[in-house]
Amino acid sequence: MVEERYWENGPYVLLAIATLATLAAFLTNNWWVCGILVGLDIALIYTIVATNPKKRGVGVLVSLLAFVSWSIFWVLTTYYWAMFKGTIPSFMIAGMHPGFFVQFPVAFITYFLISPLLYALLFSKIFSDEDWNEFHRKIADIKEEEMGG
Amino acid sequence: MADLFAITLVVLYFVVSAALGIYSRKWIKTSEHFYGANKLFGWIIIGIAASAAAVSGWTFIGGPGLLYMLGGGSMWMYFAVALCYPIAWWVLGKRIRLFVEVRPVATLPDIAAARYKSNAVRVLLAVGILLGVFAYLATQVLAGGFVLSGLLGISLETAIIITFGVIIFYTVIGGMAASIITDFFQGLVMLFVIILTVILVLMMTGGVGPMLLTIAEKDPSFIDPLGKASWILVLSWAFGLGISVGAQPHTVTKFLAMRDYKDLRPSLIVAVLGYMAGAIVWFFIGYGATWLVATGQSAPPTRPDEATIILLKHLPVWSYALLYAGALAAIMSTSSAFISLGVAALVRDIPKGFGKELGHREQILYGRIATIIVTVAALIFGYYGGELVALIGALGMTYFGAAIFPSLTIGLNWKRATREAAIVSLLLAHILNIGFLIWTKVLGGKLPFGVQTYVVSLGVAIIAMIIVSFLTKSAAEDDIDPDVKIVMET
Repeated sequence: MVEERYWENGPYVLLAIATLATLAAFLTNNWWVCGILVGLDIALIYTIVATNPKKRGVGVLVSLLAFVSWSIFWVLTTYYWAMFKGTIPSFMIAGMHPGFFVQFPVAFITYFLISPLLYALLFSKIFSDEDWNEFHRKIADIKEEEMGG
Repeated sequence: MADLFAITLVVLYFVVSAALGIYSRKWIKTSEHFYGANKLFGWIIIGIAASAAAVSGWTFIGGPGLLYMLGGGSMWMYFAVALCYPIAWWVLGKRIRLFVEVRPVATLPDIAAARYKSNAVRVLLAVGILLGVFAYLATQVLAGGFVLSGLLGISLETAIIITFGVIIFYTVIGGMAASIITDFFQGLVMLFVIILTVILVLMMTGGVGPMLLTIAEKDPSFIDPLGKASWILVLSWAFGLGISVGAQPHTVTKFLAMRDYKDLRPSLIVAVLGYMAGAIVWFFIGYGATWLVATGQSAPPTRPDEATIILLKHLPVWSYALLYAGALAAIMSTSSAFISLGVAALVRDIPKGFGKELGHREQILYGRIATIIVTVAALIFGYYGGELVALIGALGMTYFGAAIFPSLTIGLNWKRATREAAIVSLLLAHILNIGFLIWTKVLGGKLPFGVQTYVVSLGVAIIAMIIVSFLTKSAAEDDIDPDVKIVMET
């Protein structure tokens, strides 16, 4: 029971703390940490899905994937940016600066796979026919109760 | 004066838009249809309309201009927004679609009022939407005028009147339903134009590699992932604009219009692909124009916004009109969505908040009159407002984020969220957005290290929503209406 309460409120508490930390990182010019925290904020928004006990697995999965992929791409983007800062890179990927390639096409495709495609693939777990029918059943019960009352 | 092809294209484009508006009239049976297009459309229309409403004239004109000015760093603005765009589906889509099943809701303030059992929340949210809408609309006025006058060679004033005259025409007839169906058509036009642009720029420059290498030989920083921007600036976009985009009213109200809950599934893929296409056109127009200047084929533009015009001048004449049509479609689709939202706030939400509820027929009639008034007011302000337009325009997108994300994205999912928290976060969103606007644009203040003020507005509104919810109790947990609770628990 206690554990369930943590699940219900935890993501929001973490979101508030992470947002506060992000603002602090912004206002103190800690840009590298700020980059990680922005990824964490976005991932924590996805954990809202996990507050529903029936959707917990999907919510945790998408949040973790979102955070891990953001972190990898952030580390690589800034790494290649620092490596070739002010010069023409010694190698290009698909005709692009390696940092730009990671930031733009790779991150776009990765996030597309993680978020929209995962949503479509796992839709029956996020919003199943059973959910829909149960929802209508519960609403009908309420209406019946109101009529009876 | 324009050639026959351009005139034919524009006439055809306007005729189809207007015809769709007239056709949409048959769908309008209730005020919920007029303001929310409730349950009228399937996934293809919703997906394309959602991305078309989100891709504005900025994508075709302002964005490439920013890329010309800042290099690759400008892409962060689009990149972060595209990554966060699906959040609307993951976290809000189901809740909003279920609300349609239990309550006669047609707007976001309707939903907020039901969730928090509060007219104060309704009015505060409606005012936020109205201000954001007006700010955004005003910025589209001159953009729309410039595009059409560039295309047809007519005066700016005539171009504005024609463009917004057509928008008024179809929005008066069909409200949100007309807005969505025309957004769908305009989205298809944009997609065609985007594909065409990519092909033309690739042919002109010899490919992505040669194009970027030529630019890098002049200035290597232009092709790296930061360009001339700063990390704090690009992360401000990622945080402020990224999180805000998951709570944009012109996107999330599309969930009201879904015919079937299963439409949520494919519509996200369609919408995200459409939205990402906007990033591609931004990249190719921006770097295409930079390449032209770098190779000496064009003089540098006098203003960054003219980057698109530089590119157009070097593309085949026949493609000129098509690209302008794409930009016009982007401007018109966004404008009509905003007009519908603003009118709903003015005619439905704010009067309801003060206890004045109009009947269905009255709501539609007044809605039609208000469509004309709101659009004409935005036209006058957009045309004569001068610097004030840019000043207010800065409010647009992030105002929505700070107002809607805490109260609805959090509030519709978290049973612990309270009425007091929603009121406090909405008040803070208003005070901080307007306060920062005056502080930065009038008094010349600025935050350190290039931090954008909307980062603070959004962050504070989120934190306030969560902290105040733990300190207060009303409209939370057992004090939520039973049907609303079921919507939140499903």
